[in-house]
This record gives sequence, C-alpha cells and structure tokens, in this order.
Amino acid sequence: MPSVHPMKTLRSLLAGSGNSFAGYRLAVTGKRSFLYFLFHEFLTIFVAPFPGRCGILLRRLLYPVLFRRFGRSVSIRENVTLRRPYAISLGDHVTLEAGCVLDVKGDGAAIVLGTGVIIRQGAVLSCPGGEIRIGQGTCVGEESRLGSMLGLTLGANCRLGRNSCCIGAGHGYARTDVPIIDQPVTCRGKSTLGNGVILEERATVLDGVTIGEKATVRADTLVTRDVSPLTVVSGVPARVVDR
Amino acid sequence: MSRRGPWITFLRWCPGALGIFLRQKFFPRLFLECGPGVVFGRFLNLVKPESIRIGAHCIISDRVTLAAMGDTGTIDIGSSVFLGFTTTLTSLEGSLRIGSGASLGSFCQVHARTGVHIQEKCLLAAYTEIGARPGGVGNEPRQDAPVILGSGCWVGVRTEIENGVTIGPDCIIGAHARVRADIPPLAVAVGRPAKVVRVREREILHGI
Repeated sequence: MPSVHPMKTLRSLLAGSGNSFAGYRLAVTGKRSFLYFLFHEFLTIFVAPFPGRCGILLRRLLYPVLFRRFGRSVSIRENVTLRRPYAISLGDHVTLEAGCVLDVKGDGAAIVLGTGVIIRQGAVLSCPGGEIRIGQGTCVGEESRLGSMLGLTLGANCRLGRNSCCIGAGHGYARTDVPIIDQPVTCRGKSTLGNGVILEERATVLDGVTIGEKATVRADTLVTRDVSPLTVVSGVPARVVDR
Repeated sequence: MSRRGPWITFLRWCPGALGIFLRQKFFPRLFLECGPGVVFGRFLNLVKPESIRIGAHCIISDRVTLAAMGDTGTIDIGSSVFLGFTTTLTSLEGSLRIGSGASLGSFCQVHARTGVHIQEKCLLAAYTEIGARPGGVGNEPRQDAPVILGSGCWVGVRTEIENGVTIGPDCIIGAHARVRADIPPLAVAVGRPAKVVRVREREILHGI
C-alpha cells in the first residue's frame, strides 16, 4: 500500500517554483538569511555561467560557502542549476557537467554525492523529500532524471545511461471525481540501487524498488519490482533474461 | 529564435531572479497572446512565437522548445500550465493545444502533425512522446484525426502516443506504454501496444 502524503499534491510541490519573488527565494535558498540569498544570486548571475576552466576554478573558489559540504577539486561546469545548495554535499572530485540541475525542493530533503561522482549534461536530480545519495564513482548519464520522495540511494560505481530515470513518486488516483493531478502524491518507499548496477539508456526504475549489486537493466526496460543481485533484466515490465 | 536581436539573446541567457523578472516583462510581447505572471526559464527555443498563445501563470522551465513551424502550425497553451525541463512542443500543420492546469514533465516531446489537444488538468510524466517525430521513417499519420488526451488523465513515464489516438478523460496510461488505439474514459491501459486492463470505478456519492 503506497504511503500517501495527504497534502502534497503536485500543485503544492510546484508552487515553490517562483511565481513571485518570495516563491523564487523559497525555491532557491529556502529559509536561509537574506544575505545568503543575495550571495547565491550574485554567484548565479556572475559566476554560474562563466565558461571554461576559468569558470570551474572560480566556482571552486566561491561556491563552498553555499554548500553543506564541498570536497576538493570539485568541477562544476557552466549553467548548473542549484536550488537550496545548503542541503547539498559534494564529495572530492565530483563533476557536475553543463546544464545539469540539482534541485532540493523541501525542508529536510538533501542531495549527497560521493567521491568522484559524475553527473552528465542536462541530468536532473529532483528531491522534494528524502535524500538522494549517490555512492562514489557512479556516473549519471545525460538527460537522466533522478527523483526522491522517501529516498533514493545509488551505490558505488553504478552506470546510469542517458535518458534513464529513477522515479521518486507516483500519484494517487483513488477518487474519480477529482483529477489525478489534484490528488495526493504517493510513494511506495525508498529506492535503492546496489553497487555496480548498470541502467542502460531509457531504463526506468519505479519508486520503492531495490536493485541488487551488479545487476544490469537493459535499455528501455521498466523495473517495477526488486531485482536480485547479478541478474540481467529486460522488458516492460522487467523480467530476468540472464543471471 | 526567429527574432534574433542582441536584447532577446541577452534575455534568453540572463540568469537568476533578474532573468526571470526581465523575461516576464519583455517576452510576452513576442507572442500572439501571453497572459500575466508567466515564468519563463532560460535557454528557451522559440520558433515563430507570433503563432503561439500562452495563458496566465504558466511555468515554462529551462531549455523548453516551443516551435510553431510551417504555415499553419499554431500552439495554444492554457493558464497555469507547467512545462518541465527540456520539453519540446512542435506544431507542424495542426494546432497544438494544452488545456489549463495541465502539467508536462521533463523531457516530454509533443509533435502536432495532425493536431494535438491535451485537455485540462492532464498529467504527463517525464519522457512522454506524443505524435510522430517530424521527418522520421514510417511517420505518416495513421488517420487525419488529431491526438486527444481527455481531461484529468495521467500518462505514465516514457509513454508513446501515436497520431490519431483519442484517450478518454480520467484515464491512466501505464509507464512505457505505446498507445496505438483509442482508450475509453476511466480506463487503465498498460503495455506495448497498450491494452485496457481495468476500468476505474466512478464514485457514487450518497446523500450529499
């Protein structure tokens, strides 16, 4: 039975997206001080878009104060969108490629990236609740989408292909007199990918799923249930094709 | 963008709250009609915005493409619509209409060849594809009818909806489905090709 968050309809989750200045400030720096917000805006306008190696070094110098943790030799490329960076921890040698999005949406939510994690171009990490924790050496492919409502943990040395997706939450649909978009958001539980898991292109993992160590999810697969370690799954819904 | 001035280029790039503020003030005049309070993200790709209407209080995320192509392509977006990151709306010959209160997740692609009508309060999850991609092999429309998504329906992640399909109101389409035939109202359809597996029960309210 999915756990239901009664008041968290999609609309209220999106409401912090900035229809007014207060909404924008809440989305981008939460309830931090106005000084923090001003510095974040200054960096967003003048430092975030700075291209090339110079930009990376400039951000290495100036960004750490915004983050919960900022490791050594972190490379943040241009136009990376960061929302509520005070809840984001970056380990040593993390790389955030151009245009990726790290969006912490709620109080108590967090994003933690381990040593050497690479988030490729255009990937979106969206965290309205729980924690997105990515183990060391894992690589998240271009234009992927990782979501968390009750938690998403990726182990070490995972490979997520381009356009892959870990869904954080679903939607309640018990009532037929109310459109689904106005019904509560649901989540079956925490999702976990073990060490060394491979998600090929366009694979999708639903919420509340555990994928065992070194399992492989073939391209275009939809994973709806737990996957045992060292298995290969394929298809919609995923079925074991190899061990 | 079809109107490239240095000012528009700057607006498109401008980061932070300043960028949102300036785009909210100056982008509306690019469009055929644009309601108040629209949030425009960065790096938008707009083709023929003079054929595009946007309702009030929409949220258009970064890197969204709104392309009204050809001579007759038009895009009509209702009020309070949410378009996720890198979503692409392309209208080739038909009209692409999105009803009020609808929400399209990140990386969605909607290509209106014969017309696409997404009705009010539809919920499209990430990576959804509606209509054929322009220029691909075997992409001729199956029928002349437009794609219609009934109000209040929920289309799951990475679903493909082909040309000429009508999906009834309040339907649920499972993730990774490929919809080739019409889906009746209140149905739940999954699979490739999508088949109706059950029908949601209409609630009967007693004594109210």
